[in-house]
Amino acid sequence: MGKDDPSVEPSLPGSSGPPMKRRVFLKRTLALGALLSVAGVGKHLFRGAVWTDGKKFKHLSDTEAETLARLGDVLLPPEEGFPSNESVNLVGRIDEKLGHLSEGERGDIKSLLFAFEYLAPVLGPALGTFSSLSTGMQERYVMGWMTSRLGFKRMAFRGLKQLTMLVYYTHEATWPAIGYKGTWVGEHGRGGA
Amino acid sequence: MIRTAKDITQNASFKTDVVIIGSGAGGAMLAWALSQKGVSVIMLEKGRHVLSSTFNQRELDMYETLYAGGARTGPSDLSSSILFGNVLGGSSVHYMANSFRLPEFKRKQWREQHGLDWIQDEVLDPNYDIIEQHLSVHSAMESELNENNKIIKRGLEKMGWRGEPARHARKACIGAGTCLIGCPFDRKMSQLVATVPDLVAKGVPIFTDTEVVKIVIRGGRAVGLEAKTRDPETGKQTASIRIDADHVVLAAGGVGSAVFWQKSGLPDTSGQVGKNFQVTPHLFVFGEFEHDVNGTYGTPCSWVSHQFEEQKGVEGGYMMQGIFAQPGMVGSMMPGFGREHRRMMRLFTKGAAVLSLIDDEEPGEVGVAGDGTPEIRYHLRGKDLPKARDFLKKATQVLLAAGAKRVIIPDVRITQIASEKELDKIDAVSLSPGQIPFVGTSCLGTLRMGKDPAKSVVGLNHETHAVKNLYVSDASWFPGSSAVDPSMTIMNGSLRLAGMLLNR
Repeated sequence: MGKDDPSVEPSLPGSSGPPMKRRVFLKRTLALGALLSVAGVGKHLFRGAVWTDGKKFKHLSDTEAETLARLGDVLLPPEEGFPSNESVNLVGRIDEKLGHLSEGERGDIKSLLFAFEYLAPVLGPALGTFSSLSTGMQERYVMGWMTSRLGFKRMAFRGLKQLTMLVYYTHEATWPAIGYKGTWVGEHGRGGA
Repeated sequence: MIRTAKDITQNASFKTDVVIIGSGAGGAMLAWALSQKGVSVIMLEKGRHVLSSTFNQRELDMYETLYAGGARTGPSDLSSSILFGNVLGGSSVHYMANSFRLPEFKRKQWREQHGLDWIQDEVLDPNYDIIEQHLSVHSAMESELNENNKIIKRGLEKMGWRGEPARHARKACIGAGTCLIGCPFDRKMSQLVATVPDLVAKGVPIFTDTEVVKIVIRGGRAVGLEAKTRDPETGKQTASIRIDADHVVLAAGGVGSAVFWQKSGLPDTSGQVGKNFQVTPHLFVFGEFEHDVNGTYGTPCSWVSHQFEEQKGVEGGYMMQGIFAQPGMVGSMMPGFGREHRRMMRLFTKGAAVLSLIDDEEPGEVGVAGDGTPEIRYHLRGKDLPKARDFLKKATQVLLAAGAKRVIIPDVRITQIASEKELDKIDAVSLSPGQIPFVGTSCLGTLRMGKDPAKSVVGLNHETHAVKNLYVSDASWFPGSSAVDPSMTIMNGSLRLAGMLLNR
């Protein structure tokens, strides 16, 4: 049996077979998140990230922003030569990017953040929401999503990681660390179609 | 003349011979061919008119400006990214300009397996000649190869595999390397640069910021359409437009046309609308070299290999080409996270990448989400998995042969290969959704062409089976993957349709 045989993957949402519709994907993700929230951190269900609980940002609630900031700390930890996530305004720029999405797409990202935050108690390495875990536990939790046998967790991780990395590395303060010298605008004249 | 929402502030009605919905390769080329012959044409574009002089080469800005959904569009489960344009000129504004004729094996397949008996050399090749002349298509010159592509060339030669300069639609390319985020130097012959100026000179009315909401059908025949013009900043409607036309042409792209069909309530008599969706998936492998490669600069995809284009036994079923991108895109595609991801990003200038165009067979589907945005379902699966795996192996061999210290497969396990002896590690790479990133840029097949109205949406003359006088002139009509960049064949279909409409 080779790796291309779908039977090597568990028969779980999004792991193999025909792709799911968006609503099905999110419903399953959120249903699990809600169940686990009730089981472990009931009060958070009502304080959850899909509801507005503060407005430092235009689109993200304070809870969602906190989840993203902590996820950013794990994905892009401090390292010499690289600017900090705060200095490139990582969360604020993600918030700006969300402004370009349709309401439905924006809602999807917010739902994923909700699930990511509140799935931690049962599927994670310790009790507590993602943001409340220690750094080491957060790393294990993120690794668990990335390598999960559950397709929907891998894909949700991919979506959040892609957004975070895209926004971080499009900031020019990150470029010296990777040797990128920027584009050529202004050096060769411009077009005008 | 180009009219944007700022110019269209009052409700208006027009009459024309042909109205075209969409301004990409299929729509603009059709408008060009018809206007050359004096046919009255109006072309509509849902997206904005963005001057190339405003292409600031900043990734986030340009993804938001040029791509549908800010380049975040993809399958609903986030398993990959499906990229297509949303501006005047369509996807051609951000495409790689590679311009290939439909390969011989595909011509045979489309004729014999899909019943498209018009796919004959004597029909296709004269139109390809016209398109190549219009877009200045030529083989990339040696001087246009950047180090990334020289590496691919060297690796292919050492392996004894076929490689050749890409046929591409660029004029005096200066090698800025930012094709994916628009060429501000007008060296890429997108429809915005090569065709729209001709249309303006011919007096073709072009309305941007204009979304068609309904095809007007009378007695089973399309007789016009209704559209709304919206301010792109606020989203507020500025005017309603009614256009009466002898012929209505749908050219909104492989995703856009299928979404429009479903949203506007056109009849789906075959049950095939939105089905058969294919994207020629782009996977990549990344080689680390001792020396600076700086693949982000220079003409991308300038050296290609057709060696494995056609699947034979367990081998092949993909094209290979050399490509790199800007830091945001590279960062989002590189595997892993944390310090490991940082280490790979530090190799940004020393990396060379090989990209696939997989001749995919397993279809996805395009529907409409509750908020009216595309609901895309697509996974790499079934018959396409062995092709993807073989690509990962062959591309790894190419990079190793060219002197790579190691090759990184961007799966979640970050498979690394330092020699041919380790190639079997690729057998253990899972290709399940979310395990390895890929991008789809050639969206096609959602309004499939065929003889049988029960199994296809569009007839052999590009006219839809369900509605007379309604035609399709984008990659939606493709019966399957074209195995190469589809733009030349999209335009070829447009020239053929233009000829048919002229004879009516």
